[in-house]
Amino acid sequence: MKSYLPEFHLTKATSLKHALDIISTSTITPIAGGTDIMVLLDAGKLPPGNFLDINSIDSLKNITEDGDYIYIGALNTFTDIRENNLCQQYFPMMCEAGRWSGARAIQNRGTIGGNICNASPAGDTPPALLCYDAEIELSCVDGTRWINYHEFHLDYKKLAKKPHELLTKIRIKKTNPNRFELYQKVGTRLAQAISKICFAGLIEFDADKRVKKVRLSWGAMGPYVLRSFKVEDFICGNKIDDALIESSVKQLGQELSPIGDIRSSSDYRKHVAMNLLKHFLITSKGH
Amino acid sequence: MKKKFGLRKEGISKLKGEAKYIDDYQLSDGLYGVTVRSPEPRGILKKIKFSEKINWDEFIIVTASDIPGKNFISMIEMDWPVLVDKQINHKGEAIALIAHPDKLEAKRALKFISFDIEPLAPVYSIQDSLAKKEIIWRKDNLFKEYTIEKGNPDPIWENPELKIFTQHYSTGAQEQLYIENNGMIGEYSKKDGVTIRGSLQCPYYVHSALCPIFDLPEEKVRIIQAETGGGFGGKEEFPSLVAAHAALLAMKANKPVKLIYDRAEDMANSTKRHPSESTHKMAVDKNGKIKAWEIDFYLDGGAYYTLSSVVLSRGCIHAPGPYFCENTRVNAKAVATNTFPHGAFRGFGAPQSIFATERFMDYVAKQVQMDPIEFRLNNIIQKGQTTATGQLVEEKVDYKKLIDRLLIASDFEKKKKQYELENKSSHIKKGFGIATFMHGAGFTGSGEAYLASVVGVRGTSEGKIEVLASSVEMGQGKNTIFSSIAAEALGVAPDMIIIATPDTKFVPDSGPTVASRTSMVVGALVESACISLVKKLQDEKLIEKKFSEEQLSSAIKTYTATKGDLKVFSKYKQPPNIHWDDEKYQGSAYATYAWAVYLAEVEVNTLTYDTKVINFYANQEIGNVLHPTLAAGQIEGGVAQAIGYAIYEKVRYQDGQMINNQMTNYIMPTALDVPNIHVFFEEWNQDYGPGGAKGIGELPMDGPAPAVINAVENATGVSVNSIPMLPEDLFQAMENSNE
Amino acid sequence: MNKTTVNFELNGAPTQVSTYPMARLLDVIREDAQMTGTKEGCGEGECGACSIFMDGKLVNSCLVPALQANGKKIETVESLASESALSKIQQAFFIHGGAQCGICTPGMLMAATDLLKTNSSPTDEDIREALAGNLCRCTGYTKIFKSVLEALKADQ
Repeated sequence: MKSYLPEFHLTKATSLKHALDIISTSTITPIAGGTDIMVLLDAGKLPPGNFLDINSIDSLKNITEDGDYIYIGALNTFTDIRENNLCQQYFPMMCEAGRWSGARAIQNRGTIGGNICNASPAGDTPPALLCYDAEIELSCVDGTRWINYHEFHLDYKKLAKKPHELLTKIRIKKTNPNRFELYQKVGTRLAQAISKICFAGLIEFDADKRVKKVRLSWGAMGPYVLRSFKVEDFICGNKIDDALIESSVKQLGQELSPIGDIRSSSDYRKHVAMNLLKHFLITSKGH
Repeated sequence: MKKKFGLRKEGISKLKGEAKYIDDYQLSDGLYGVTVRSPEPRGILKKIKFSEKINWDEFIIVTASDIPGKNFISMIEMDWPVLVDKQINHKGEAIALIAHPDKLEAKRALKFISFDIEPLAPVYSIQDSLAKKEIIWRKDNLFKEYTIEKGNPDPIWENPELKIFTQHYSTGAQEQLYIENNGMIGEYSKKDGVTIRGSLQCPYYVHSALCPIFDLPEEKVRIIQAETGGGFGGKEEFPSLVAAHAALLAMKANKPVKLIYDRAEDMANSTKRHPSESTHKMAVDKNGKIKAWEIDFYLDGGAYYTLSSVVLSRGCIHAPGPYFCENTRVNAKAVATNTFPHGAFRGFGAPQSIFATERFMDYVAKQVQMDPIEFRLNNIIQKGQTTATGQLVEEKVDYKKLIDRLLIASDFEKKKKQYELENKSSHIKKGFGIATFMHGAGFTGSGEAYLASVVGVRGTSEGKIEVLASSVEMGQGKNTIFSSIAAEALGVAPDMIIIATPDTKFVPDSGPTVASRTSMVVGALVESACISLVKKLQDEKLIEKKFSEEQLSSAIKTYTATKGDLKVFSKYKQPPNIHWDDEKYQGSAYATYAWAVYLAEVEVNTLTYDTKVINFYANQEIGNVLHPTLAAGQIEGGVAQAIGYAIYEKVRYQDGQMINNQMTNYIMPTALDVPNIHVFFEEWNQDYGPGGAKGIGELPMDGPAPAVINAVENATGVSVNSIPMLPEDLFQAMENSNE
Repeated sequence: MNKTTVNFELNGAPTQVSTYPMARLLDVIREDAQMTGTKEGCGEGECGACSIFMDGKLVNSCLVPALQANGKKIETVESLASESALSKIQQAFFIHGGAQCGICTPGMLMAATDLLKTNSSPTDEDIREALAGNLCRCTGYTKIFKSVLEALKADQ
């Protein structure tokens, strides 16, 4: 423990209203499962200050179905998501992402809200959320608003969330059963690993085998989770053949400029990303 | 004699969470110590600055001027300071120590200490050190140099009928990553002197180090080993430094001081495996026989000597492998750099040199178009031949038998064909790789004679037998093995045997718990001491030639009740046929060698360049398996650790200090990463060690790395000559080979 | 001073400590409650040596702020054995060599106990995944896998 604990204040929020009141009037950082914040605290890298324990707000722990949509409370842990029938049925890539996060003990504590708001570019659920066109509910004392998840990250650890807002829910439209999807995390080992590249891809074809919808998203490839909008546009409306695959992969290579860091090199990241896209498109054909 | 396998002696206390590791000891009135370190890799310390923002009266502060005796850790060379006096030689070097009753205050205060340091140019590579860009150690940066010569390879390179091959290999540093960090509790009083309790492998190394530091006689320094959560060599010599620090604080504070490293500190500021560079040159005739062999073997020793000469020694002696060649030369050097000093780590030079050798054997086999197994067997040493140091192999060596067992167990022939076919169309490429090697157990040459280890055996007043030795339990099973050996020698149940805590006040120096010597060398002394105890009781007519357990127990009780202390000691005697010439580096380097073949089965994902070891097969001839579960446990653990060495564990240095010093960024394999590890033992030769047991603690570290990288080449066709081979490295190698 | 009172049940015993709200539950267990079976290996949630059950769920106690332990049921390795016997998994570890140096063992036992609680017929992959958050440097995991399989057999 490298931090000087007397300088860290933690208050417990007893309800959502209580939490929203507090964050509307003070500069305070919410803490849910603590799997990100406590690591920083132990390493002496967390700035001292005020923290709000939101982990007991039960109203944020539900997963419900309403017509075409599934609503996931921000405090659902990776384990909650993995074990939930609705998520297994409609959003298996989120369950995959949960399985690839840390290991059991981390999954029992880490929350989807925390995973999104911590905004590590290497976060495990964000690429899946982008593929599923997730929407984020932000709440404050004055009410709630919805925002497309792909508009949520503005820059490295810069969110389209105001300081007095709390991420409370995620809403995702039920997926089309006629889809092909692939989640692939490339980490430093098979568990307890931070992504070097995290790919999530989703594709739907029409009766003519033309691409009706495609989503390509990347973790650990930029300052925040990315979607390859340009490559998606390029692919959409076409049939997948060798020429399209080659062009798409080339385009991706031109578009991505990942960093080199303590975990991996930019060259490796780029090449693996291109390999994964190629593999995804080839495999989707057989679907 | 029937083998008696007890269950882990201290197993229940470990399983119940009752075993006490050093951080589990709570001080009622003590202080918490913290080490203050140099931010510069090399320079002259001008001033230590303490900010006014802290009330330093609450703290105990220790600097070099507080050291009562010598400011050096006594080792082979007296170059390793306890605390920086003026010269700084590596980043993280300990300059001062502080202590406070509150752990949080102690750690916080670190931010309020700074230094004026006049920087000097550092040296970070073997090449730069050899080139003497800067002289950073004594006159020429050279810690040690050895030459092993057998015959003369020089004229043979000229022979036009021979094919000559050369390759270069390198291995990186490796962090021991014991799951329990370094830690000590130091106490000091005028009456008792220094008392240290801590996580350590060699109580008497710490003892020898502290006596001159505190200028105290032997009986005024006491070292007690606490339950130790893994050592792997990382707690062989390094604890002497931590212990000195804890004791100095305790002396100044006049209170006990707990000094425990956190993980980030331990990784950045402790000794690691020596990085190495090897160059091999070999001449092969048309029959695939090795006619001449020259090996250059270099080690980066870091800023201080520590045990570099011994690591170099083991590394260069193991470099020529279990092969026969009449003209061999090994040129070995260990040099200084301004990196955190490198030190002992399981294998101790052999994993480094054997990686190069076993990769080279595959390379040469390919060049001469021989199967890699065939090429090895064609040159393997036989009984009656001599090693590169001229040691005669006097026992059965049958590598074909060792290999065949693995080929059957792994379904090698069938799978190899299957993989060759599947690899053509799959992006997952599979393959096999082999390593054949030997590992010499015990200290090199006359090392054991020099150690002159002693073991005691004591009859207790309850009629039990207590084994007195400074060898430590660190998971390898020493408590259980000594119990088994003693039980077998005495003909009693292992329950009758007590293993004394390694406490220098009560146990003799049985030597360090290193070098795969504990079962083989010290175990033999346990055995002989027990036999002497029996003889003593027989001489006193308290038991007959044959006796039951009850009779022995009774006799012990009678003796202790009527005659007093019942203690017998056994001292190491060098076997008569072990002759070693330290000058010429020739003769019997080790009392015994274990012979081994390791086989790796890997799959390489060519989309991500990830290598996964799917199955690993390890077969070794070890004389006598003392305890099947413990023996297999050593091999399994060593294989996993060596797979880490090969493909997961990269120490990233900046300014000579590890910067990926977190478990999230220094990658050791998890339960999902390790292969199925299949262990086999052969027991052919039994002329040394208790029941003929050979040391095995380190040998599993030697084979896996080259076997895995050989397998990657088999699977992908890509040759990598440097470890660790991360996916990024394999990717680079594949790119380079495509150009 | 910033300390707060935290009340929880520790291995069946009601426990009250005064500590910093963001103190690690690991330190509360080891130092305030003086229950030292749970170990610190890394302080970053990677090694699992600090694994405990909190309200029946396996968690890394080095990552739980003390305040969040309030009102919770905490179980550590010391709760596995009864007065008279080791638990099945402890017994299996004992017989089959699942522990070497023992420092990862308390956390490993908690993770293994968690697996056996929730899955009575795990595959080899399930076992590896259940233990993937517990690093062991000594065993190469081989005899830990064996111990788990043997404990499962003992249940049948």
